[in-house]
Amino acid sequence: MQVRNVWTVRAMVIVAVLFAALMFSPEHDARPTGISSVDDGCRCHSLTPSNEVVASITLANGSALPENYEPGATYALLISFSGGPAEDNNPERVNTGGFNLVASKGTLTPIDNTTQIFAGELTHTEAGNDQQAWNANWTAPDSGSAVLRLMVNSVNGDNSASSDDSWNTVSYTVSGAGGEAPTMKANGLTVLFSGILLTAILFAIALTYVFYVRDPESFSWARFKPWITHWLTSTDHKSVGTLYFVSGLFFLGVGGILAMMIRIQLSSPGNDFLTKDEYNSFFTLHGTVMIFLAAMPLINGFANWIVPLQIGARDLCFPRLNAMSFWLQPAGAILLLTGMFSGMGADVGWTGYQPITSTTDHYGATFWLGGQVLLVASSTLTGINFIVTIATMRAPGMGWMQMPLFTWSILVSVMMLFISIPTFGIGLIEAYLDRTISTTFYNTAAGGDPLLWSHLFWYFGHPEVYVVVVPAFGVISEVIATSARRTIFGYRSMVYALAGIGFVAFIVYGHHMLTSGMSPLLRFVVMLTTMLVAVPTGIKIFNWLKTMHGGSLVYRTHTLWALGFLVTFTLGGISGMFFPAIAMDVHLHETYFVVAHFHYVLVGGTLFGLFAAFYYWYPKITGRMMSERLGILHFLTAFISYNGVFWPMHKLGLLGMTRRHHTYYIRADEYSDIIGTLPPEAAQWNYFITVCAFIFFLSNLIMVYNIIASWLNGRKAPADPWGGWSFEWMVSSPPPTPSFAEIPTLLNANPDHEPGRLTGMLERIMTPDPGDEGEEAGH
Amino acid sequence: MSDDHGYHHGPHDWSHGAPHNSWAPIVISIGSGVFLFFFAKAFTMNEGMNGYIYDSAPLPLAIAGLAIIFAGLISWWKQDFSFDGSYEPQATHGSAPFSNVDIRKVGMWVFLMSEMMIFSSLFSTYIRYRTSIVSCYSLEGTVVEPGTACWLPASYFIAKGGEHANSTLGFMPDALVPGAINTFALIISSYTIVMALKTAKRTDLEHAERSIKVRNYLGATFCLATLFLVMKMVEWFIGFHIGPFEAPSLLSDQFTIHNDAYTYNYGHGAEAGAMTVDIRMAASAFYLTTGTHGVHVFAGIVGLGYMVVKAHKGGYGPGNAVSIEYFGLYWHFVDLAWVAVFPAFYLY
Amino acid sequence: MSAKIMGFDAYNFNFFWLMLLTAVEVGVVAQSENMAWATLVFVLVSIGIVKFVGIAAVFMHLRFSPDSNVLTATALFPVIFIVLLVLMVGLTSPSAVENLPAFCRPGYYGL
Repeated sequence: MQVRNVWTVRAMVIVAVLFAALMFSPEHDARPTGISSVDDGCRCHSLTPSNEVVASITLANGSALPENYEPGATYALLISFSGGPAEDNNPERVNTGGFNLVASKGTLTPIDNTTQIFAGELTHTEAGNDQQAWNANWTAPDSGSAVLRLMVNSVNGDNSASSDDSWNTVSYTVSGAGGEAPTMKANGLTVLFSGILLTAILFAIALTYVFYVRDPESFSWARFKPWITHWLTSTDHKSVGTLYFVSGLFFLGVGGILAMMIRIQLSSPGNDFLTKDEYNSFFTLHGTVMIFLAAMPLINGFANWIVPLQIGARDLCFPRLNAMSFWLQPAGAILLLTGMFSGMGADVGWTGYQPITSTTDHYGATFWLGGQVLLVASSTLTGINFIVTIATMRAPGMGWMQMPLFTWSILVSVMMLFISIPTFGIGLIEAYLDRTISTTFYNTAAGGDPLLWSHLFWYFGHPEVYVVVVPAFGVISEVIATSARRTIFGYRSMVYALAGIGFVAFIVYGHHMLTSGMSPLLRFVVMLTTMLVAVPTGIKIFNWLKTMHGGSLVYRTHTLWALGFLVTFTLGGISGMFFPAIAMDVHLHETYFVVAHFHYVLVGGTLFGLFAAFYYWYPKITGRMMSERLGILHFLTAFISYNGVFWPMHKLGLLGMTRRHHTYYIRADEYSDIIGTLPPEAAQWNYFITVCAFIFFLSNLIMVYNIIASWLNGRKAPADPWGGWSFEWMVSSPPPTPSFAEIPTLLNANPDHEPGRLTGMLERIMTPDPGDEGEEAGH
Repeated sequence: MSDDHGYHHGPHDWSHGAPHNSWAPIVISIGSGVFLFFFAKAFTMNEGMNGYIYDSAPLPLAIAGLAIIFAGLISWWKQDFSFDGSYEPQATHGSAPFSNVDIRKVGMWVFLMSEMMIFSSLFSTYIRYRTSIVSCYSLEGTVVEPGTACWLPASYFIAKGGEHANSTLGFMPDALVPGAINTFALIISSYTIVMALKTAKRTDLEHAERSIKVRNYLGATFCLATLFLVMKMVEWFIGFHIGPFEAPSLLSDQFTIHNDAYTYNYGHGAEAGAMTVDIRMAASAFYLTTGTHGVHVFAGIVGLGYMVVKAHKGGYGPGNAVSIEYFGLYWHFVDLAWVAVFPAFYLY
Repeated sequence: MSAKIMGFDAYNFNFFWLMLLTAVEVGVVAQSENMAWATLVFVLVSIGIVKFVGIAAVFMHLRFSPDSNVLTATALFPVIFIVLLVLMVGLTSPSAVENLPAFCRPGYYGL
């Protein structure tokens, strides 16, 4: 059988399995059309249920619903509620309103003119409006658990939407005669824990399997101790880089599972898969884990592996600090995730706005703050290491304007990171002390200002998002240049654009706070500077396009990911340009439009850049070639499903779907004016997004499989499989330790890369003369 | 692999057999995590958010975390102890404008850049609150509701002497004495560390004699730094009672982060009055900033401890005197931070 | 180092002046009740700047050393970011504006 046929068969099997899984996805008890009636219906109530209103279903004679029904028997139900506002015009009449009852099994039948069946559900009629109790019959089914879901609305009778109109819901389960257990509801926390545990176990099994297959003889306890000691203590940049990859990929999976939990919850309106508190902690941890434990470690992994190779250094200049930068991450991760599985995880959003962060009763927030302090330390040490290495350990002949663009991007990224992150560290320490020894930095009663946190956070937070995307720029420059088989177009402007982004990033952070009550003058300034920061990024995009235009593209997987990056990052950048316009920001702030924008630039930018980097540098790192077929399959499924996830979110945002709300509600009809409800298409889009999200999540497992399988069976890689010409392609794949037996000298740098006047002038002023060393030593 | 030619390799001297492994990074990370975890368990904010609930059980574990950090440091030092400067990494010739500069020096300066950002953030917090919270002085004579938040600077308690102003020397309150001692101690310690560097570079002394002098200078720096921390604790918690000097501690003066009912007495004679105010914000900013500075001094003391031991064993000479210089850079930065913190928090 | 200022060894010269300036600083503050607030701030800031430069230039070898130029540039690199930080975080509280002099406020320029 030819290879091609096997792949076709396998692909079809995979698709068939996925399709079958979709067919068997559980039905959800959604209310996409809301409470409806023949006439106007009750459409006036607030968005979230009120605890004042208590709904109940009992038997007509007053006793409670039976635990088990008799098959086919008819029960007379009394549907009632108490609580809610009094009628304005008639204070004697209190707590009147309407109801809607859905039975998952069995049949509901009206017995008088106060109730009716509408759209398969029992609700009140016009005559039965403004009451507190109704009677109806329910005929039990033959078997199965029946869930009776009642929603009641208690209004003040002024025939319009009022803020004190309140509603609530209650659910009863009546089991079959055989005493079947009621349908279990999945507990969000249990699902999360199981998912993460499963990932970890599968990963451990895969790792063990790989090592066993590679060398069964070495799979012994005696050989394990030096192996594990090496990995726990190594300070070699290549080992630390690999550690970052392993940790980063694991937490990418954890963040992805958290995202899947969120998507399940949001797949239908009014869903109760996750409680409000669980949802809050899930989106907090999704953001924090993805940025600090997945994106940054993966970037650091590439920086550790590739930067010393590209500048011709044997290692970073402070290897033990480098190892400490890594090990602070798992320590921080354990702290960050404390409380997650017991429902007390940090529930404050990755932005941790005050005063909720200092006052939330979720104790996980304190540990979240502490864990991030460790990550701040880790990033600061990384910054020191990379800045000094790139500044002082370059090979002869490699001036600033001869460095590869990936190294430049790491330098700019790390410079932004390490200047801005101490500010975040101070904000964190202040909040941590607030929550432990009760200082008052964010305590408004004592004069504390919650906006201080916002300023400290976003002074770091905005450069941070550039920190995670700028290395992707560097990767794309490398990949496009190599794939187009020419040097990057406009190297000098690329460098200046990077430096420009690096500086302007610090003066635009106010655009995250445009709705916080800043002074109009500052808002105006921030609007201008934010629009300005798009210019250097645009320059880079044009340069990439011109590089391809002047070159001849070879379509490898990394090329495809780079092309995909160009599309999605540009779209994300453009959608981001709506926000500096202050009026638009007021409208779009905290909606899914923001979510769409930043996922386009973070996933479509950073993650796609990282995928390109994986496919590009995997041969160098492991000495094996990855499977191109699996790579292309990964790209196609991931790219298409990813756009299916995040493109509709633009629409949802414009419709008004708010982010960080655990659920949403759909309005009854198109004329409904309940604030906060969405049109019915929002529910359909959300369901579509959830399905695509699962496809996206699963498609990335293709890459994981590719990584593992290629490591075992991949073709041996030459030193330079793609025809690149920076120093990393000069050493063998994988490189030895130390990486360079002899430091190479850079000759024949591209004539476009000659040092310019600015460089020459600065060097003349600042470079110390070598001759003074003798004087120094002689004191 | 390595033919040493009889010298000890430096920690990064891989071409001469220096190892690529160290237990220190993972141990220090675990220790830091343990410390922050159990510290958070030991102290929890109370319901009214004006105090904390202290649970003594996790505290030994938090201290164990600190001990683990220290153990990691010892492992780090053991690797470095034998370093005698025979291989000082310098920037490569391609690395203009940093060519011919010691890499560790550049590294220390880059680290100091991040430290500048830390202290700037602390100052920003201070400036923000000091300009936004009304000063208690300006509320004098007006009717304020008890528990109104106002800013009473630390200088009220220290430089202005507050209500308990003793003035043994006649021209300054006794409460300023610990702060003044601290300032002079840091300046003198900056001088002693510079003298240690100068002495270590001298080639006109015997190695043994030079080592003793270097050790003495480093030891003097150590003692002055310890004096600084002791004076700080005296000023915060104990009170200065030496001879005729009577200065209450800040704690006994009720300048604490939990005092939301501080009684501020103002005026003299007919205008005298008292009002109950909440000064916790001023206290929080003061203790955090001066505390952060104190933590940096403490870190310096830990480093100095190692250096004193190494100097005693004759580890510093003209070859690796620059190691003292790099520590000196950090130490001078700590002094600089104090030059900024002292007037801004103690005097203004 | 063998650097000299006005004939004295740079370290000793610097040390002497630092001690003297600190004594003046403490004395000024001890007498702060007898002087205007603006004078107090001016004196404290001036003395602070002189001490700062003294320590940085002499003790930290930013003046009399062959690698002074590049290291001074490195040390001064964060200044712009510190200025941004202090301006945007420290001075944007709503009442901070009230305490600034008129020429610091945009209304002075008709904005």
